[in-house]
Amino acid sequence: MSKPILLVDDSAADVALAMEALSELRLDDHVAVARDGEQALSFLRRDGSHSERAEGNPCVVILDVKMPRMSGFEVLSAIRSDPRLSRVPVVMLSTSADRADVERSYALGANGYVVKSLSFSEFSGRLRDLGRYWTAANEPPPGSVVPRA
Amino acid sequence: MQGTTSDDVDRIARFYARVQSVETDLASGEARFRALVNGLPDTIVWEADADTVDFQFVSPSAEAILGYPVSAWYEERPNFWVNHLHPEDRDRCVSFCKTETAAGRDHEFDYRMIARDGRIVWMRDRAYCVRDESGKIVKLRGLMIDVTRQKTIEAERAAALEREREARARAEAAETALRQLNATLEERVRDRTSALEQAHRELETFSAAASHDLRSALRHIASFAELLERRAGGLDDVARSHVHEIRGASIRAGQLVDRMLELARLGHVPLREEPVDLDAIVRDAIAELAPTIGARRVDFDVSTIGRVRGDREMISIVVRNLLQNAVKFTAPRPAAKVEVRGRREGLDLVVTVRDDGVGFDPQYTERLFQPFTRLHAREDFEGHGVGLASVRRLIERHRGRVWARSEPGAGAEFSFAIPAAEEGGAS
Repeated sequence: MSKPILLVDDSAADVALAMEALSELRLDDHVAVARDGEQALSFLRRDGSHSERAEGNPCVVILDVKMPRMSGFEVLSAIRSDPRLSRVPVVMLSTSADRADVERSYALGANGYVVKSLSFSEFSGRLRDLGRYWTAANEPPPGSVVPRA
Repeated sequence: MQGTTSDDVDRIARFYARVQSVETDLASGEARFRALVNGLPDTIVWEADADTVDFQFVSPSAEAILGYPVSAWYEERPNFWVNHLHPEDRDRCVSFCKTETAAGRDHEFDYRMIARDGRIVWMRDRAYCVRDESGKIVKLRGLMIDVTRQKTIEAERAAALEREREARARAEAAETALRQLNATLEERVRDRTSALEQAHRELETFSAAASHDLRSALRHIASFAELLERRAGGLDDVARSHVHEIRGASIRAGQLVDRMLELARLGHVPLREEPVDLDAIVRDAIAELAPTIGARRVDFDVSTIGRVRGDREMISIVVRNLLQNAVKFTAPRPAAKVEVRGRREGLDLVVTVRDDGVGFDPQYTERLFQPFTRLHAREDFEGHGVGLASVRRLIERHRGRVWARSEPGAGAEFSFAIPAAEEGGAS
């Protein structure tokens, strides 16, 4: 199934917290989850187990920076170098606002960078703002899957 | 036949007188010759048959020089000279003498003879060929000069030169060895340093990874505790307060990890040096702090400071930390004053932040700048003891220094000095 949001994070607890935050916007039904970089790319490219998925790119990919095997930076590079995916908005999700990580993200073509704050209310506020902006306020690239009203 | 006349007698008398005078001359000549030959104490005058080299004359000084009676020179067979040559010089000398004589050349050569008492005597022998009317060489005449002293001095000089040469060679060898040692020492230091750096990098990588995992776990505890609090309809007040404590403690621990990560990061990220306007940085830091002050009043008294050369982000962290500290430790006062001053000191700009807060005991000044060291209870003042450690690390990375002064109850003064930015012509 096509979804307006793709969340990529290897940690089950982090996925649960993100879904909890997005559920406050009733966006949780609109989220596809990938637990690593390969799954994320397979979803986006509609290959492997996702070959049956309906057409359309998500309005936004929320991408964890630190993941085993393929890091968020590598997934971002792969997205930006694929002509079918290069315009998909990507927001990086990280545990720290390390200057080098922030710079590298933007250099690779990220559209945003959000820190996983220690306090859940702060984090869920950020994620709500993010979800609201990319799925409702922003006009996504043509061919994107938007949430049904 | 004529008879003998007085004229004849006269003539004969005159003849004898002449003979006598010639004999006298001859005698005195021979005496002079003898005196001359005998008077050469270091020289043996000799004469020998050119074919057999049998000695026909040897001056008496021979006995003084070699200790053998002169008669031995005439009597010993096959030949006195050959018998008493140093064995190592014998063949060379005999063959040289023969060759030179056969070629009709006067010759000179040095060799050793063994004296009667076993001493080695160095001789310089000059031999001259004596020919008969037909030009055939019949005799050799010559002088053997005792050059032992000269040779000894020469040998000593040569030995001294040799010793000097050896000493120089030893010194050179020692120097070479030292140079090699230095080279290998440098190499070893380089190897050790690189091993240490490698170990340090591994440790940093490990602690960064561990810190991130730790932070994730603390964040999960804090976040799920918060979700639990929200949904805790079934919990009583005591249970809810426990959950609240869990959440607060894990957030504080998470913040401590964040500060540790920041401190570690600031230690190794490259400096981006540029001229930095400290007045603007102080202004921004005060604007950022103002909303956190709350109901009480804090007056900031800021003079013009100037520009330094440094990393903007790092200098901002330094200024923010010092101002935050000043605000924090004046908290008990309803109205507090924080002064910020700048002055040039040589090539440096010195910045001082002074407050009228609780101050600290000067004996703990050094501990202030150590990471995770706190001089006040957490209940009195929030904090992790990282701020001033970061300040010191950042200032030291700018080749600067930081110091503090205080009396308990009399406020505190923190200063740092870093290179000022050179401004066109101004000093």
